[in-house]
Amino acid sequence: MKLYQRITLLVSIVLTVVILAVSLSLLLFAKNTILSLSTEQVQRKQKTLRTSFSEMANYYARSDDSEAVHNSLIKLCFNRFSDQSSVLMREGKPVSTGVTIDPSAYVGPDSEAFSEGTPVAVTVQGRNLLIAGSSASVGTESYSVYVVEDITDTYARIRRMAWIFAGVSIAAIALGAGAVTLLVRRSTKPITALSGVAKEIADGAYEKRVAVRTKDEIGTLGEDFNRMADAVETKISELSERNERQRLFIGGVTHEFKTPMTGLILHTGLLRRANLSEDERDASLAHIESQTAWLERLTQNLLKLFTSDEEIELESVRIPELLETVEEGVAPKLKEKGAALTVQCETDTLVLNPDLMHSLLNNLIVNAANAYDADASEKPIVLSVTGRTFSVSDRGRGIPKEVQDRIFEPFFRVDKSRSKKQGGSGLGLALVKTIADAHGATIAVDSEPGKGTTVSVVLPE
Amino acid sequence: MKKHIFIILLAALLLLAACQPTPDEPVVLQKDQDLMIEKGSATLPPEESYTPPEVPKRYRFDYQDGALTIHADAEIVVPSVPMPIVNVRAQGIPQETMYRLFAFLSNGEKLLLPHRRTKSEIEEAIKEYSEMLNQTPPEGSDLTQEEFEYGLNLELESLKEEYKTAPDVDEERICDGTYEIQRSEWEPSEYAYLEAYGNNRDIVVKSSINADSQSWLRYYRRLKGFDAYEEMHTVPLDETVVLPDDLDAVSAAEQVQDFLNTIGEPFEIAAVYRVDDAMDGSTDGIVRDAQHYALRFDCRRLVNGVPLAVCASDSGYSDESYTTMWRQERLCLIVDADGIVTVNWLDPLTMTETVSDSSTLLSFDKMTGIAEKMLPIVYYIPSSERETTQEIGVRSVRLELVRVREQNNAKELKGMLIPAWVFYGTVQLTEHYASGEDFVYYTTYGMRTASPNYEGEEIVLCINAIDGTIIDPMLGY
Repeated sequence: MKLYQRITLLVSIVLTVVILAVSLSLLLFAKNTILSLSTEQVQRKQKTLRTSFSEMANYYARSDDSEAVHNSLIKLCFNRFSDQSSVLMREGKPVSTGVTIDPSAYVGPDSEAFSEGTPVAVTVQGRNLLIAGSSASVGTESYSVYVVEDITDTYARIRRMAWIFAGVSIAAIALGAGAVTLLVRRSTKPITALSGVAKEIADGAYEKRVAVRTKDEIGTLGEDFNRMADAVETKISELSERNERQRLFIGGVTHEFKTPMTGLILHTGLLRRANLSEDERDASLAHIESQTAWLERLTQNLLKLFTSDEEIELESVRIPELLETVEEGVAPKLKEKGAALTVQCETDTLVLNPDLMHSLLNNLIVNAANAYDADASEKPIVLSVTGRTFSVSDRGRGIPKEVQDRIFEPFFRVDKSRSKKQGGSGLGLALVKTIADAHGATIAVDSEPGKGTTVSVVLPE
Repeated sequence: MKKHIFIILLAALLLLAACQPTPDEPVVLQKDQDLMIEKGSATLPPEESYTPPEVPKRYRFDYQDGALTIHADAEIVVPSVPMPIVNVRAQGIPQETMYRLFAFLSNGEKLLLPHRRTKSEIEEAIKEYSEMLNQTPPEGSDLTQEEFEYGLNLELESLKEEYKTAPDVDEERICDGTYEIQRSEWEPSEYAYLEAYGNNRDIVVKSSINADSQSWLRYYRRLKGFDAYEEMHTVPLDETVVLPDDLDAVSAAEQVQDFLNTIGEPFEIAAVYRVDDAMDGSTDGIVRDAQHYALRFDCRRLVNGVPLAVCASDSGYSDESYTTMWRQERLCLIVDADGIVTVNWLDPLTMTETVSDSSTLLSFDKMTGIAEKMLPIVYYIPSSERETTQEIGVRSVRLELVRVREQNNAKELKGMLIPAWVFYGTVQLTEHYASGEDFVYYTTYGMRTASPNYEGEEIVLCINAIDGTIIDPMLGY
């Protein structure tokens, strides 16, 4: 059962009980009051009749009145004060009566009600009657004076009142239940909305929020929910970013290992298989040492770059030496591709991170080499440093204009099929961008399909 | 949960329902009238003939107690036939009787039914009343705007109803004495009605169909020079009363008898009076000699040869507000030199059943004992009103039939004719003012007679001849 249905049912039950209890109480009170008033009225009427009749009859009666005179006097005195509900009896026989029933059968002369003149309620042939009687003396004679009041109409009114009460109670309960249903539904609507938004967020729409319109507990719940959703979205965003960074790091490391690994594999292969001279062996081992050291530093730098917010370490680096290292590192790859690197340096020193910059230039050169078709006759690549600008140019296939904005996105590849064949993961230029950003440098791409590409990295002042 | 609700509702219904105790069979009492009938009913053995009660030649009685003086020196009139007890109801005048009476009273003159408004006349009236709805009550009226509009709307409803059967053109409708059945919010049920107007005379008759409302027949002949003979100076006709030459009592009586014969039921002339327009200054201080004379004939019904008591006044009252008033039957004709001037027949009776052909009656002595005891009580003047003195003169004591009404029946006009000793006379009240001025008027059972100039007889006391109960003829029991 839904919450609003439960609440509605509970409130309806409470409402029903309360309304019925109140209605019944009121009805009983009204009935008792009305009957009490009727009873008092009848009692007063009987008392007045008895007293008036008795006083008048005793005033006029004489002991020497004949029976006929006495009877006529008694009737005159009684009729002077009586009406159609009055009965005068003597010794159980009627003297004057306008009613058909015998009141003494219901309020006997020996009863307590008779001695006190208390009205008694009886029902005779569907008629509700109040009968009050008491004795009156005229001389030595004792008479019974009764009032037989038909209060059937009063009972009918009470019954009508009861039906009206019942009708009003039912209507009140129905209205109350209806109003409660509407109110509760309206109140729980925000909870339903909350539930809906929670589902959407669970399905991935982390930006969804509930609209807070009230200042009550539901409103507070909504605000808290939105705060929670903000925290979740932020967390997920952080986690996604971290995940992305880790991916990039792993991808970057993997990517960067490729080039030096080529050299390392080459040199270790030489050391194992070839008969090298001492100098050639030293040179290979030195290459291996420098490459592995570079790889270790690169790993640390990449780790720092992708997984922490620490700034990279910058130092003043002699550019010619850096370029020499780069040239040496990339040589095996270029040889494999059949590409020729020309280095032009007009800058002496710059402040940068040598390992990361090495990686940056390495990636640009490898990309330039990959830009040529395998069957190209010439594959020239130019690496130049002028001022604070590092440029790598090729005359390869170029980058279509429509994707030039996306080439630095992680895992983006202009031509997926070719990259895959060449072992590309789409991370090279992303790394270049990341390293350039870490330096605060800007990257510019000048490329024309069929004519070649120049990528320039400008370090900040 | 549903089960709990059901139980609660059931309990509520049981509590709400007015639980009535099992009705008992009623223990029945005989009503007064039944007791009286039982007491009074007698079956004469076939070989015995009825003997009227023994009575003296005259009845004499005197009483004096300061404010009240009673003097009776009365003739005693007893029918020679048995006194019946007869059930009656106020059924009005049957259509067949009405045709005869109409023919007699119209006397060949064309009488027309009231003008019925044409459709265009009603439309005019509707328009007029509708316009009045937007107005305020007339100046001087104490009606609220709501009451005013309510009254107008009632009238409009009535007009719309009338419109449905209204003629397109003005038409002359000749009355032939046929009743129209009508309904009114003031009457408990439908009734028969006749209203006809001529150049010289008018007849208006209302006849109850269900014996639940009053009935009456009123006939007026147009008079020249003055309005009516009612409320005029009235004196019993005897040898000392002078009549103008053109007014013959015998001829007038014959005309009345012709009318009575036309009714087709036994009626007789009970009393004759001379009516004139002399004024003695007691009314509006005007004093004048008589210029117009007529004869008034109070008539009475005969049942099995026994006359009904005559009430000179057409007044009546009921003891409770919801009880329909029922006057004693009264038939009065006024005849002048030109013929019957007015006929006033109030609450005609219809005999339904003879309960007893011959009642057992109290002896005259017992009855007078009751009368002498009761007269001072009935006409008792409280000490707080001792500026008033009463003089009661009893001129005749008659054994007649008086109509009493059925007990515990407020709505229907049903009752019975029972034998009663009726004391006729006058009740004169004199109010003595501190200024020394006295004001004298005649009353009937404490009510002023319709005519302050009436010098005839009234019912002073009425005693049930069977059980000695005092009967108030105005009330009916």
